[in-house]
Amino acid sequence: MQVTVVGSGATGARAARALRRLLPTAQLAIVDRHRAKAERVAEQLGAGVQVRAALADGPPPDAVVLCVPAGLHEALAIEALHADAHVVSVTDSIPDVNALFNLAPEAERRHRSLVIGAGFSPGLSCLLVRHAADRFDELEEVAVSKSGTGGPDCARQHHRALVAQNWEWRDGQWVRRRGSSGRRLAWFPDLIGPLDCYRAGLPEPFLLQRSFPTVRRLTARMAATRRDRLTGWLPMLRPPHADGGPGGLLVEAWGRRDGVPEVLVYGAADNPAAVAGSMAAVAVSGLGGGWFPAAGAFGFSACRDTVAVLTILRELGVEVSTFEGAA
Amino acid sequence: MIGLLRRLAFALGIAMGTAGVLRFTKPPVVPWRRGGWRALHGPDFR
Repeated sequence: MQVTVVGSGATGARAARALRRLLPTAQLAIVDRHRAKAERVAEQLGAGVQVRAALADGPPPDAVVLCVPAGLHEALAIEALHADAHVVSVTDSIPDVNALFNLAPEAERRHRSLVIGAGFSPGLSCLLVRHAADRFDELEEVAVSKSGTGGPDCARQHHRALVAQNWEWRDGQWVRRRGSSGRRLAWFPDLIGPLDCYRAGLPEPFLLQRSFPTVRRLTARMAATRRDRLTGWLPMLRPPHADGGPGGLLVEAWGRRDGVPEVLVYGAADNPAAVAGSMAAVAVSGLGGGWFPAAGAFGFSACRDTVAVLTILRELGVEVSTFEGAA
Repeated sequence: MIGLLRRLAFALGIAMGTAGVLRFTKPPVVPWRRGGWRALHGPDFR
């Protein structure tokens, strides 16, 4: 199997490392316009990893992992699909997610999979929603909260998202809300703890609504400080950190089992770039394995075997927790 | 020169006042909660 990772930043490097571990016999190539950076990553991974300047260089890949900044995913996904490759995108931007869903007919026509939002949030968040939904007879409401970022490009997208329009799915229709509004205290797992979270331009509701069209309410929030909210409409006042971890993820799902209302709370506290890399690698390793639909565009909420995915994630060092008690 | 200093002092006062209001109007984190986190485990990750 020939796998090409586009982007060798914080997430791309970790995706390549996780792929090396999950698919040791796969031929791995890294594409980056900054060749020196890609060569450094390839060197760390050992012999046999190729470095290319463009996706079109070299033999056509079987799968392409897109770990590039928001806004670049659609064009690269089209290029990869035209080369008859499966595509895994770690995008966390609403326009990217919607543009990639528009490529679903093309992916189906070519019998290829287009995995959208295979990162920390979305990605692990969607997987945990599916895991919770599998325990209910009926899923009624989902609230996702996140904190932290991956590399600098993820941090820039995070900064933009805080003041972007927020979309919520409520009683069968989309409701647009102002970003930075709607404070809610989220209790992340212990490494992160409680943080105030606000509405933001996050793509989870769009990904989840396709998998759970009858759910009553889907919301997504992200952690922010008063300074973040005050300066959200300005350009970033200082360059983002090389790595914005650790981050937290909180998934609250309300549903019914045997007619009785129940709530399940799942969470994770980890390095977002590392988790995103692992999720992307797991998506590639699961292609054609029955974990996902055989073709088309979908996110991790379409996963058919969450236990298998969580088992592999644990082998890669990603721990998921559940909250037991009352908050 | 004195005018400039007065303006700077005024701006500093406004900035410090704003920071103070933001700092002290933040509601406290509600500390009550029962229970805790545990790792998902077992063959079905429950």
